[in-house]
Amino acid sequence: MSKRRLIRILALLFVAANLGWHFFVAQDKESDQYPNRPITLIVPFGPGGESDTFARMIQKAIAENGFLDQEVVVKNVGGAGATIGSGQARKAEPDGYTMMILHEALITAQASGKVSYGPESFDPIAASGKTNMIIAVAENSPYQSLTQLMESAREKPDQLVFAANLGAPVHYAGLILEKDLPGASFRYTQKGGGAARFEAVIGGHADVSAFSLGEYVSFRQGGLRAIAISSEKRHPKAPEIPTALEQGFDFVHANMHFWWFPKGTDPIKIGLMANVIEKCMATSQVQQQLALRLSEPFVQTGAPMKAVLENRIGKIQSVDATSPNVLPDIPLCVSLITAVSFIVLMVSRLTKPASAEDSASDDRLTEVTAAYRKTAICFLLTAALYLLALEYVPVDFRIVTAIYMFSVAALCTSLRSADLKRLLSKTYVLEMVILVPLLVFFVFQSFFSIQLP
Amino acid sequence: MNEVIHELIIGDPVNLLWIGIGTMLGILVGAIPGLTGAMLIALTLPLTYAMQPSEAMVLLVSMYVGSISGGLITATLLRMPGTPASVITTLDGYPMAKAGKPGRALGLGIMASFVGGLISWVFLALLAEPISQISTELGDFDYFALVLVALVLIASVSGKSLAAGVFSGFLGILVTIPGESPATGDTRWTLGLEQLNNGFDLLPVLIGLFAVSQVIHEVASSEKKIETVSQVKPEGILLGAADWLRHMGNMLRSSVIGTWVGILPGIGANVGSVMAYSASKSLSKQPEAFGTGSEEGIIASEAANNATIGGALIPLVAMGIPGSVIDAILLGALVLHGLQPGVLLFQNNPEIVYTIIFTMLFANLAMFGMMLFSAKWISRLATIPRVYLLPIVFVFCVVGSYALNNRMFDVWVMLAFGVVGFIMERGKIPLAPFVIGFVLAPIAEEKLGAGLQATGGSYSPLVTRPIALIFVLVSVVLVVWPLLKMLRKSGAEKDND
Repeated sequence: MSKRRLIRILALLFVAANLGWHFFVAQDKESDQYPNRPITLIVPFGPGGESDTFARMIQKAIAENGFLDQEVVVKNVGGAGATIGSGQARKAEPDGYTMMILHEALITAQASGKVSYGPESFDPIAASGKTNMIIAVAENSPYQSLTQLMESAREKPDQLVFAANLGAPVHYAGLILEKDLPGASFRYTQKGGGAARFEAVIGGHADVSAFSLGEYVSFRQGGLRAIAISSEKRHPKAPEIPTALEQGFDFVHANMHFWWFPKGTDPIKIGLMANVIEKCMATSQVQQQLALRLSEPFVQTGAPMKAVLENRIGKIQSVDATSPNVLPDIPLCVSLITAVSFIVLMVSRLTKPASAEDSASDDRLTEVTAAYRKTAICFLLTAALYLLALEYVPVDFRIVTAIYMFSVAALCTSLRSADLKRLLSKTYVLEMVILVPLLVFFVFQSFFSIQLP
Repeated sequence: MNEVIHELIIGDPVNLLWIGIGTMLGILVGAIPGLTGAMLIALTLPLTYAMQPSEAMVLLVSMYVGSISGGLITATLLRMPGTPASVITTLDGYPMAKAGKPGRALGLGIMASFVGGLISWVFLALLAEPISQISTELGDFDYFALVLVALVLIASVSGKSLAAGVFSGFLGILVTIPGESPATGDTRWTLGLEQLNNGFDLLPVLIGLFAVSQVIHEVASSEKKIETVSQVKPEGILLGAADWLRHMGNMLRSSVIGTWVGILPGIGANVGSVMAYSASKSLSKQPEAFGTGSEEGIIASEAANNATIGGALIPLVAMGIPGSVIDAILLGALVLHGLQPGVLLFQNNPEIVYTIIFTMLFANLAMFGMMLFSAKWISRLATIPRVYLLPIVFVFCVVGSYALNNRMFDVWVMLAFGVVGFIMERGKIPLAPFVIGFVLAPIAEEKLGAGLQATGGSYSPLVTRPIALIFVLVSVVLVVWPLLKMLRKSGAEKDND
């Protein structure tokens, strides 16, 4: 019995420590001044991309220079052309504790009809980090200049393959070029990120693509040749690349990372955060890292930023991003074949009933008794109740989980009162249902800083 | 190069410490569903800001190796795929553990992981540059044809009933339809739910199919008495030379498949294990054992998923192209540490490149040691009574699915697919083809879509490009062959009557 007691005492100590931490340490941090808890920065892309890297650069600068009393936590919510992340940011409380970084994809997603909302659903904080775009071809490509390329796109419309990320700024780069030379058109193919477009161009699978200057710097030694840059004047660090403007195309564009709060955030908080971002952009470490990728440490807030934003929205909405659909109706094909194979399966089952030998050899197939079915349904109902409680009832995760775990353990018994008594007195189930939620909570919330429901 | 090894081991003992810590954390995170290696590495990244770039890469690459390996523990013992990469391991690892050989199942998985890592490391160390250049030659139609081969192999992993297998495979493909089209980016079949814009996430679906359906089954089918911890001695973790030799051919083949799949961008460790598993089954002398605790199945899956690590690092170090999500984060880490990834990395910062390469080797050794050493205790997991195990497993499934994207939607998806998996197993429909269809269909659609967009709707490159043509022919043979065999068999049966 001494082992039992030891475990009980340890469990109690752990609970006490946890509660103590909760009441003293956690509450100590509370103060009235913004920010008094960590700020979540939503990056609507997976980790590792250009936006993510930029966000982390700023996060690093804030942490190392102490620009904020609280830390900034990067939360990657990738997928569906940044619309999952932007949807989440849009619905967040406008309390200044949720922030998002997102470039023109917020505008292009709306323009291409992917989502109904755009910049108007957010409060912009700042625009930062100007990166020009590059139009590039493979080293051995016959096109020596943008003019040559576009002339060829006019002579052979819809023939030259443009590696794009459909509905994203790269795609719009091609569309804006087409607009300046009536009759010219590219054939867009979905490639996605910079690395994939680079591969398509040097592998000869696409004739041309657009890259950010940073991507171009990474890839140029791999066989990429720039034929135009989207800056107004030639870039001081890459003076050999002619501008699109001097070749007769009104393609002046720089990717910028815009910072957003949900609509309705206190202007004082917006001002404070804008100031923090300005300070970050002024640090030498950020400037050095940007210089390495030939980006400008540009930052803009307030009215000038809003003017830039308006200009961008106008330009993007002026072109039509729909391309001819050449794909077969895949959803229809798949659902038809699935239905047919289901029918075939049913027919073969009905005409040839499974032999006794078949079912005996499968040990996972115990007989489906009434009790079996009843317990399975009971389990599913409790599970659904548990999830509903987590989602809609504002009770602590640890308490709901403890109750739920106990009910599952009880379901594993025959549910007679003698069984339940035995469960409480003879096993460690009670300790488990108290300790495991606390531990899970600790690992996920404190260590991985994932806010549990 | 020698200096780098010297520096890694003797010159800086801190690096050895980082390898140890990184590998261990990676294994832990890999074993817990919902916590992925990508998550761990992204979270660790800010902590490495204060370190030297080389130290940071040592820590992060060690985590990478650990996290791909750790998944096999829970997949084998609890049927809970810790990472999508280990889902194929559950197919044979779990039946074997359940048949009373958890130690041997773990031992086989650990051995295969180790060999897979080593072989892909050899490719990484010797052939990084030439290989990554060849890989850009592959066009969309080549990729599509390659994936087609693997999809067709669904038929070969269907078990006893071909009809059930094909249905299961197409059901898996059907589940990939809702959400964003991988070819055009348009959303479809979302029922107006914004949450469904990104479709069904891989991990909640897999956890639901395998772990939750198992929990439902176990809760319902207990003999209704409270067990106590049984004292089964785990045996067979350490394998003899005979085992190593017997499985060497399979390990070599699966590792090479894994390495190549790793090199191809956008196709991750889960596809590597799917392809190696299908190939092993169709070449095996005992294909009928697959799915019931086949040693070859465990070996193929684990050798291949670890081999993708070395494969995916090849384009990363040689060209700055990430072969997987984790590699994309590593790429970001290089930038944050002031290095410029790309073709010039080899020339400008050879020490970083060699640090990455040799860390992979040492982390692989560390993983092997740690997993073997701890397997004895870990395999006891399989003997914990249900009243403890089932509540814990389910709570981990819930938290894991939630943590992936911080939303309850994924948890509901997990529960729903738990029911789907449960019904499928009751109806004797195999789960393996479902997984293959579910994992491969988006890649096939993306590549076919991009290819058709580039040709303006023409399918002709499928027969005019030699690589594509070879794969198309292989898949045709794979479709026709089993059908012929079946016809001949039914013909023979009729003769007997």
